[in-house]
Amino acid sequence: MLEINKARVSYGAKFGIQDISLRFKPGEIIGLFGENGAGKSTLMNAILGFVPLAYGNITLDGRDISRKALTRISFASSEHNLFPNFTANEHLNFFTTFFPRFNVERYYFLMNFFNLPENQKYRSMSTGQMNQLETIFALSQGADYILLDEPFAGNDIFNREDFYKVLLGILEPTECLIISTHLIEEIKHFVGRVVLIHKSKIVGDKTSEDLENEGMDLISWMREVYQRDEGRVGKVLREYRKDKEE
Amino acid sequence: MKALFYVRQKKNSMIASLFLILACLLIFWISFTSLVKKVEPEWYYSEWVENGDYSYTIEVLNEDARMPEINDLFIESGYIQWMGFAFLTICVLPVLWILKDYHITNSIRTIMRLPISPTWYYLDKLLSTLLFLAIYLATQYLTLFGSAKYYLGVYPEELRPTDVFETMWDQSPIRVFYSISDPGRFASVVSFPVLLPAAVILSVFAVKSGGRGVLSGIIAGAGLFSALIYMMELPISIWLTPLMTVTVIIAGIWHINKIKIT
Repeated sequence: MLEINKARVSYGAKFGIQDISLRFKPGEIIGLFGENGAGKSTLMNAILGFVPLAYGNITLDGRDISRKALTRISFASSEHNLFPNFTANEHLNFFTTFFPRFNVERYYFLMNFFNLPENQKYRSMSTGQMNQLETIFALSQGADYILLDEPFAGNDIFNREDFYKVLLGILEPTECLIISTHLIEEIKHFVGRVVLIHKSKIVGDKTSEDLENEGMDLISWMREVYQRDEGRVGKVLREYRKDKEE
Repeated sequence: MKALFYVRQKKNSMIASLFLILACLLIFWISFTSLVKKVEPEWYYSEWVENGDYSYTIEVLNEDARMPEINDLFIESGYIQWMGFAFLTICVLPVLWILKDYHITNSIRTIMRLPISPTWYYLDKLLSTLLFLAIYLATQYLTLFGSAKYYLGVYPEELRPTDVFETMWDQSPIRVFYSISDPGRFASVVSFPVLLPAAVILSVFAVKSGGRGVLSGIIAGAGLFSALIYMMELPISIWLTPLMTVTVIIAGIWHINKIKIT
């Protein structure tokens, strides 16, 4: 189990995340939602050890995450984290060297499915292909916890849909997927649990079952949590027109 | 071997840098040899000899003929500019290698989540630079050695000076890199080539870490200042250079493990 206990990351006087406590279990598919700058990426960075915690701790099966334990956590984002001069084949060589549980079979399945070039340098791929390749490596690393931070920003809708469908088909019950995205509509049927972050704090954490039992859909729950004023845009536009007329 | 993956990442810049270094040395060599030919004096003059019924000319060694000092020829053929440029290229290399992990792509994030100690990342940058520095120093040594041999080869045997090598190795800035024969300076001469890239690497780490890198920035600054003191050949550098080298390396390893540079 991946456990985050009262984690806090500070950037000077500001908090990246504060007092966040979460537990991720094997087999879960979790959607991490929040506005830009809410703390979704900081949370993932803290799990991976990219940013130090000012307070709290993050454990994997009850122990602090050691360098060796990092093989059990994979990561992909749309920030292009792979090596510019490596081809997919060279990356495969790299990942199999460092990650002994790398799932080569899954890798080739995904590479063929998405028809990605194996001998083209990463930097010369399109943005969509870069995102796909990185996600493929995160899914094939043999990790128990797969972190995807807005992995498909820049990919077309058909490609994203294909990915979600394939993901559901290939994930093992021991694997936990944590995906952060703004594309809520697209993944609302796919995630089993939703965590809402707002201004660096957790403001909501429900499973699909909880929502179903409460007779709520994800979007209306989010509007309720974020206290979204539906008439705000209309009100602002009316005031704008009024000012213009005067 | 895992470490080779990092080296392969640097393949293109390594080849380009090696080419640059060799080009600098070659340009210097061509300038030097052309200059030597140009300034070579007339070693012999002809003397008319009359011997009874016949007369003939003989070649007489001009005892006063002298070549300019080898140090002056080095300077005139652009030694300081070309070697300085090559040295500067090597000092800039670690900066480029580190920044490359952040630009074009963000591969530092893949490197930093590998199940190996981040110290390897630091050592990779430092050792790759040192490897280049070693190549530079060795090729520069051979070029200088070859230049001195060429210079001596121009002299007639009778006039050939005996102290050319001593004079050459003892001149500044060659002395900065090669005066290892002086036991008192050995530690500082050996540590200086390590100090410079180590301080440059630590400076980049400090910059990449923003506010958390202040301490490392100060240590890196002190390291660079010590390198400057060494180059100015101040007596204090005899113990300051090795001390700062160790300090900067320890700070680099501490930084990469504790401060994070992603």
